[in-house]
Parts: sequence; structure tokens; C-alpha cells
Amino acid sequence: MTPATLAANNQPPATEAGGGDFLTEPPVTEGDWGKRPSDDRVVQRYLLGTWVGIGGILMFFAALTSAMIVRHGLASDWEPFAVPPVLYVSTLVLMLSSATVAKARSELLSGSLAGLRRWINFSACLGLAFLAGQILGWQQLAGRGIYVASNPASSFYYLLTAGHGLHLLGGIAALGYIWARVRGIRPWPTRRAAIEAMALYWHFMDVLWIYILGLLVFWR
Amino acid sequence: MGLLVAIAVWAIALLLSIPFVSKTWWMPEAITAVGREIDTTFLITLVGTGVIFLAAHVALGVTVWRFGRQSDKPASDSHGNTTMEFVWTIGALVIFVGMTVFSYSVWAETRFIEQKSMQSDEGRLVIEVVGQQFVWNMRYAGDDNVFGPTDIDLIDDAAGNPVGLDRSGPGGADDIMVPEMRVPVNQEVEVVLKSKDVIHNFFVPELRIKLDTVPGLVGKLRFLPEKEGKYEIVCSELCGLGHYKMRSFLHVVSQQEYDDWLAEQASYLF
Amino acid sequence: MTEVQVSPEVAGYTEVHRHPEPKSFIWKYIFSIDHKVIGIQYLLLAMVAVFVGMGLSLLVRLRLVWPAEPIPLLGWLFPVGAPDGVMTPEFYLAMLTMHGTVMVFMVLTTAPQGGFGNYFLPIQIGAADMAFPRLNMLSFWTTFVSFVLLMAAFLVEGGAPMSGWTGYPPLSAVPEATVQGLGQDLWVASIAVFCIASLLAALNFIVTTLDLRAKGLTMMRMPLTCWTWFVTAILGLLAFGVLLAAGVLLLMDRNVGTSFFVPGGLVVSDKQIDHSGGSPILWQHLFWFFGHPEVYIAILPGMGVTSHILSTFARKTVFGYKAMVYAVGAIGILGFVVWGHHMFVSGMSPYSAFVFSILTMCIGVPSAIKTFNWIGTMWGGKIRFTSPMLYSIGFVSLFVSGGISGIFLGQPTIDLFFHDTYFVVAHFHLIMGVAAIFAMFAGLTFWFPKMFGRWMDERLSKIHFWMTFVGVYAIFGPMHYLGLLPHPRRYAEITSVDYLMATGAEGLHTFITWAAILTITAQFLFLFNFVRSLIRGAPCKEDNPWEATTLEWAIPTPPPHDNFGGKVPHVHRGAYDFSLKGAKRDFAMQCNDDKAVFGEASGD
Repeated sequence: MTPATLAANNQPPATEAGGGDFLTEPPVTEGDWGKRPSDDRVVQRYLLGTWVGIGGILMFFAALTSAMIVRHGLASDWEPFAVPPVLYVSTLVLMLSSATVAKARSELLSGSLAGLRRWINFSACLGLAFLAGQILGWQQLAGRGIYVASNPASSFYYLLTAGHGLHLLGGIAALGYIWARVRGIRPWPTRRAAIEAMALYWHFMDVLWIYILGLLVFWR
Repeated sequence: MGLLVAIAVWAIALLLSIPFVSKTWWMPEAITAVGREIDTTFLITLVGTGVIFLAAHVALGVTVWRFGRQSDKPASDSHGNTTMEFVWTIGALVIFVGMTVFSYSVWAETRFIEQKSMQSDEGRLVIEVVGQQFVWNMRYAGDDNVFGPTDIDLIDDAAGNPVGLDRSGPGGADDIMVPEMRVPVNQEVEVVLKSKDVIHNFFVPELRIKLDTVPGLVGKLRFLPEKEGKYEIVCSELCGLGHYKMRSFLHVVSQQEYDDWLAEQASYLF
Repeated sequence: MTEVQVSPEVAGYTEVHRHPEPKSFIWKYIFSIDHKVIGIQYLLLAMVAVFVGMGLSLLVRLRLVWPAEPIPLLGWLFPVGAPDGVMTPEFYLAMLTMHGTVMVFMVLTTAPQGGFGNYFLPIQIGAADMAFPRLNMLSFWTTFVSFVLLMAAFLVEGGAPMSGWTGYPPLSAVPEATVQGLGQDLWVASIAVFCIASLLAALNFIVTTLDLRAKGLTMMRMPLTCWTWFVTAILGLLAFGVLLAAGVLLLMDRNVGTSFFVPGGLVVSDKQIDHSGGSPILWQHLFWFFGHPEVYIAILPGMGVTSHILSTFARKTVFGYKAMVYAVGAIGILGFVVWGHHMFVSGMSPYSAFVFSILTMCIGVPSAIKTFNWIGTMWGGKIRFTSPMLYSIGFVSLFVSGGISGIFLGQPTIDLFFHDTYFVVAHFHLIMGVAAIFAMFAGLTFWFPKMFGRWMDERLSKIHFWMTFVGVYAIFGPMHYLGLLPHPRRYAEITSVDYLMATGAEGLHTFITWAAILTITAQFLFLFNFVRSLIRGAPCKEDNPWEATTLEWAIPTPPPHDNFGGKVPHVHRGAYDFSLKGAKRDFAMQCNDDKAVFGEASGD
């Protein structure tokens, strides 16, 4: 998309109006952090999309939760076990990563691309560290002889952690995408929106994990 | 065109309804009091929905016919009628919910078997029915009225022990295993439903009741047959490639005939 | 970029940025992010799927009536399932399972929503595209992968799955219980992938509807089609996540050795199955929590299209627009609390059955409102009997006929007798299958000129309408009588049930099969009409050939790349302003202001 196709015209932005009118404004340039008035609309759309997506993901985990509660209720073969302690460490790591994602977002808003990239790097590393912690947790369980099919408690443990891990992997992919695009010199009109949406998703992953951990620890 | 559509709609509605009135294809006669009550609720629903069905199609046809004719009159500028809408909504709610509330007592009679019994527990004949691909196994407790224990490791279709009955266990020696069900007339029967493999469904049309046999769960049905005869038990839940031929019979016979049969079966055991 | 002329109908517009049109074939037609191309891709996918599904249903019908007759070519296609062209019972069940799966997922879920919704939702609300065009492309191609996975189930060893489209475990979870192997895994995988695709699509539809409406287009001015697509998207968002979870669990039960759905102590053909403690009922709850909303996912867009077309060709505004919107919302909400009525005979608590029953009956109320309002819309109108109008009238009739049998099945007492009989088959085919398909025929004939700039042959469409309308009633009407006998569902043949042989089920089956053959013939007529019209149908040059009111008729035919050429019209009125008193014409487009409608004198 070249600045030429984004030619400005003299009409005032009709912010109350509908589709796609956000681009009837001056072109995006390097050094512009998405603070044009109409960018708010794009941000709003991306955030709305993320919230709706969160709704869908919640239904998925709600279904797993209800399956777990039902299965727990009627099982004679449920063998509770303590979650691997490494999970508490990785929980701290994930909470820290939420903070670094928030920091990355505020770097963007204050106009520091370098800061943004730095904090995205941190966040991605912390996300990967969390996943490594999950894998370590699986190995510790396997070491104790608790596998996926050992009993329903372990099945749900592996399923919930893997399900959350896959979703977090999506968040890491989004970080990588943003990182790659922020490096480029071409302006990116939906930059702020993408980062705001990613930050919301990441915080949701954090909250979702705490919920899952609670389920695994207290619903044994 | 309007008249053509109207006639088609009317004709279809009429043709569809005729067999419901002429009873060309109809349910077999019910052989229990509960079955007849179910028939009554069915008939009430049939009349109610039949009226709605015909009225809707008559209205559809009349509308299409009357307002499909060429005329110079413009279409009316009407946006709806809140009062009519309101009355119609309340009416539909009362009719539809009313039907199910009305049939509730019959539902209770068939399903709340723990709380509500037609006879005292004493006189009830209990038969265990175990479904498997693609046969029904009926088990009678025998003289002692006690079902013997079963063991999954004893299951052996070829040796004639499809449910893994332990003959040496308490009460197991005189259990009777048969492929068809035989009960005396006017005797309350409780069927205990189980499955060895997948979900089947125990359905006797003349009893008007069916229940899934879910592996891992125990289902119970109770009925009091009032008419002698031979009735088919058909599987009504997809259970695999032989689903269509998974059937058995329910024989409702006189007390004398039943006693003779039971004695004969018992004589094979020893 | 070619300049797009603003229609003279448009009174006031907002200038928006135009996106460059892709030039290469691949980006324009294959991996397109244009919602119109994606909509057509969905429609084509559904059309392929519907002919596959129809072919499967024909096999099912033939097997029922002539179980021993060899069918030419079939033995060559399926040497295992149909040796020498004679179908085995397990092949019958496989065809039946695939028929249901293909029709429910690949046709009834994709065409009304993914097809027509994708194409017309953005245009009807005045947007240049969906909210997230790339996500939209991803949704379609994910759906495509799902379809390929499902079709692959035909080709693997053991053949297609045979545990029904509901896939009840343990039958679907224990390979020993059937002859199927990888086919069942592919089936589950296909459905899981389909869930992901549908979730992404639902997200897109919801955000598009909420965020991209043109200036002046409030929610209560939206066409009813948009309302139904919107509510359908919400249903999809909430339902498909649950099915995805269930699918993952089933896949794990089959392949990893977990026991979510498979109980302990199973003995299949004298062989002990190594599972413990799972619950088959759990699957039923999860499945039907999705499955019942799915029924409305299939039918709601059809209701919207019907309302839209009835109003357009009766030249009259929708009777009780608000009531229609509330009814759609009520059906959507109630759709989530009635799943238990599919499980009345699986041993559920009689109390919950009673609750589910009452809630189910409540769904009859908004349905009754809709029927009442459809007839009310036509009452006092000036009906034009175009083929889309005929299909829509057919929809109303089928909706009534299919809905009324739900009153029987919603009462547990009566369901005890009818559950899993042909009465149920008749019920859901009429309402969810045939009625929804009629709405799609209506939509296709209605929008064809706009989409492709050519007319469908009106005469062929009408012949097709009459053959199909009579045909489907001839197929599914008698199935009610089979249900009365009572004829259990999913029986490969009736020879082993004495009372069926004695009461004339055979004759009814033969009649139904001939009716099916007639109806299927008619569908090839439709296909012929569709393809011929695409190539050499009479050109349609007008913007608004039907004299309709919504925004898609205010843009050139066929719509240009960015829909509105960067100039999105402002909306001045509701979606169905027909035959207004004092108006110059008998319709007022949403983009007309009062001056355009009533003339200069009345200007305000």
C-alpha cells in the first residue's frame, strides 16, 4: 500500500459512519505511532474481534471443564495427583510476560520502536520459557509414571495444558509477526491495532492459565 | 399462478393429513394402560397440531391466491399489528406448553418408576436384558429370585455364557438365560437394561416405551401387559452393521403357560 | 482503478479508501480476500457437497428398496463396500453417515452463512469487505481442508465411518465395534477442522455486523437477512467450540487410549476392551449442546432470506419487523437450552426431561410468530410470482410441515414412541434440510443476476420448483407414516422386522424411492440451469432489476471489486419500505432520502 493510494481528501473524517472510512486521512509515515483519530476505530475493531475470539475460546475450555467435572463425578478410576511444582514457576513467568507485553504496548504509545521491539523480544522469550516449563512438567509427570491415558485426571491435565499451550503458541506467533513487521521500513496502518489486540489476547492467556491451574490444583 | 400455488398447497396439506385420519398406516394396538394413555396424549396433540397445520396452509393458500391476482390496487402500507402479534404469541405459548404440561402425568407414570409403582414390589417379575451386537440376552432370576453374580472374564458367547454368569456364585445356579422374553399376562414386569458393548435401545411398539441400553449404566422400564400375544422387540439405536436385524420377541402368555415354560427352562439347567 | 459511478439512487455518501484490486489469477480467484469471491467459493463448495450428499442419499434409498440388486459402477468404485455392486449393510450405514455429515456440515452450514452471508452481508450493511478479509480467506480454506479430509474417509481402508452423523460412542470410539478404522478418525478430524473454520468465520461475521455498518444503518434498520446471519454467527461462536472440545476428546479416546466416553467392562465380540470409567452420555451432552444450535445455524439464514424475498415480491414491508428480530433472537437463545430433547430415551432424569420439554415447546412460539408474520407480510400485498418468491412460499409451507411434527417429538411421552423412528427422519429433513435448501434456491435465483450479471432461466427455475416442491413432500410425507408403524431409523433393510413386512412399509419405501429419483432428476435440471445461465443467460444490466430496497441493489451489476467504489451510501430508512403512502414508486431504497421518495414538495 503506497502513500499515493492513501491520498488525502478534504472531507472530514466521518467517525460516526460505518465501514472503512478510517483511511480517508493523511498517509501513515515512519515515526507515526497510530495516533491519528481514525486509528481508534481500527483499534476498536481489532479489540472487538479479540473479545469475540475470547468468547469462542472460553466456550472451548468451558466444554472441557464441564466434561472434566462430569467425568470426575462419575468415575471410580480418578486418581488425583499433585501438579508438578515447576508449574508454579512457569505461572510466575507467564504473569511476568503479561507485564512485559503491557510494557511493549506502552513503548509503542510513547513512540519508541526500539523499545517496542525490545519488550516484544522479552515477552516472546518469557512465553517460550513458559512453554518449556509446561514440557518440563509433562516430563516430570511421565517420570512419575503418569501418562495421558493413565487415568482421567492425567488425561485432563495433559489436555488442558496442551490446549492452553497451543493457544499461547498462537500468541507467540502474533508477537513474532509484529516483531517482523515493526522492523520493516514500510508503514503499517494497523500497527497499533495489532499490538493492542495482541496485548489483550496475551493477558487473556494469562488469566486462562490461572483458571486452568486452579482447576488442576483444586479440582482433583 | 396464485391460484395454482394455493391449490397445490391445499392439496398437499390435505393429502398429507388423510392417512392420519384414515389410519391406513397406524400404530399397533397398545397392550398396557400406560400405552393407552400415551395414545391419548398423542391423539390430543394430533388434533391440535392438525388444526394448526391445516389452518396455516389454508391461510397461506388464501393469501397467495387473493393477493396474487392482478389488480390496480397498490399493496397496503401496513407495518404489522402489535395486538394481533401479542395475542398470537400468548396463544401459541399456552397451546404448546399446555400440551407438554398435560402429558406430564403420563410421563411421570412411565419414568418415575422408583417413586411410583403400579403394584407393590412383591409381585413384580424382574428380568435382566443385556444387549450386545446384535442379540438380546434375557436373564430370569430363577426360583430363588436372586440374580447370580457376573464376571467379565467368564463371558464366552461360544460356550453359551454371553453375560459372564457365575453359576457357582450365590443365586447363580438357577438363573435362566433365554433369547426371547416370556411374561405372564397381567403381571407387572420390570426390565433391567444393560449393554455389553455399544448403545442399543429396547423398544416394544405395543408397550409404547423405549429406553437406551447404555454400557456402564443400568436402565429400568416397568410395564403391565394386559393382552396375550407375541410382540417384537426392535433395537432403536444405531449399534453397528447388524442393527437392522437385532430383534427379539416379547411373549405375553397365560400364567399357566408361563409357569410351564419356566419349569421347562429350569429343567434344562440340571 | 476504474471509477465506479455512484447510483443516482444514492442520497449522500461517505468517501472511503479503495483497496487495489489483485491482478494475478491466484490472488484474484483462489486465495482471494474479496468477500464476494470467498462467498462464491463457499457456494461452489456447498454445491459440490450437496451433489455428493444427494448421491449418497440415492444409494441409501436404493439399498432400502432393492437390497440385492447390483448397481452398475458401484462395485468398481467400492469393491469392499459393494462387492459386484450390491451394497453390504455396513456400506449402507457408511453412506447414511456420510450423507448426514456432508449435508449438515458442508451444505447447510456453509451455503446459507458462508456463501450468501459472505457475499451479501458486507454489501447490505455498506461495507467494502468483511472486518478481517484475510481471516475470511483462512476460514474458507480451512473449511476446504475439512471437506477434503471428510472425502478422504471414502478412500481409506475400512471405508467411511458408519456410526451415524451423531457419532455416538462407544460405537464411534471403539474400532472393534465396527469395521471402520481410519475413516472414523478422518471423520472426527474433519469435523474438528470444520469447527475451527466456523469459529473464525463467526468471529468475522459478528465484528463485521457490529462495526462496519454504513452511516445511518442502525441495527433496527438492518435487513432481516443480516440479522439472521448475525445471530447465526453468535450461535456458531458459542456452539462450535464445544463440538471442537468433544471431537478432541473422541479423537483421544480412539487413538491415545484415554477413557472420556468409553466405559469400562466392555466386551465386543467376546473381546474385552481396555477402557475404564468413561461416559457415553457425556458425548451426547456435548454433541447436542452443539447439535441443537446447529439446527438453527442451518435454518436461521433461510428464515432471513425468506422474510426478505416475501417482502420484496409482495411489495409490502415485513409484517412486524421488530417481532421478527425478537423471534430470531429468542430462537437463538432458546436453541442453547433444549439440547436434552435429543436424549429423552437415553436414561436422563425424568425431571430434566420435563424441563427440556417445556423449553422445547417454547421454541414453537417464536416459530409460530415467524409463520404468522410471513403470511401477514403477503396479506394485503401485490404478489409477483417470480421463482424466488415461489421458493419462499414453498419454504413457509415446508417450515410449517416440518415444524409441526416437532410438537410431537418435544413431548417426552410421545417421543418414547417416535424417538429414532422415521417420524424423526421426516421431521428434521423437512425443517432443517429441505426448508433450508428451499431458502437457498430462493436466495440463489434472487441474487443470481446481481452476482453474475445474468439471469437464470425463469421457466426452468419454475419447473424445478414444482418438481422439487411436490417431490420433497412425496419423499418426506410418507416417512411420517413409516414412523407410525413404527419403523426404526438406520435400518439397512426391513426384512427382519415382521410387523414392517406385514403393514406395508415396503410399498411406502418404494414410493419414497421413486419420489427421490424424481426429485434428484429435478436437481440436475437446476444444475443445468445454473451452469447454462452462468455462461449464456440473458444479461442483466440494471442495478435493481427486482425493484428491491436494500443496498446491494444500489451498486452496479455485478458488484465491482470494492462494492461501493469507495463511496458508501448513507442509509435513510429501514430495509423494507415498500408501497409507502404518497411515494412516487412502490419501493423506497435504503439509500433514498425522503426527497427522493416523496418528491421535492415534501422535502424536509
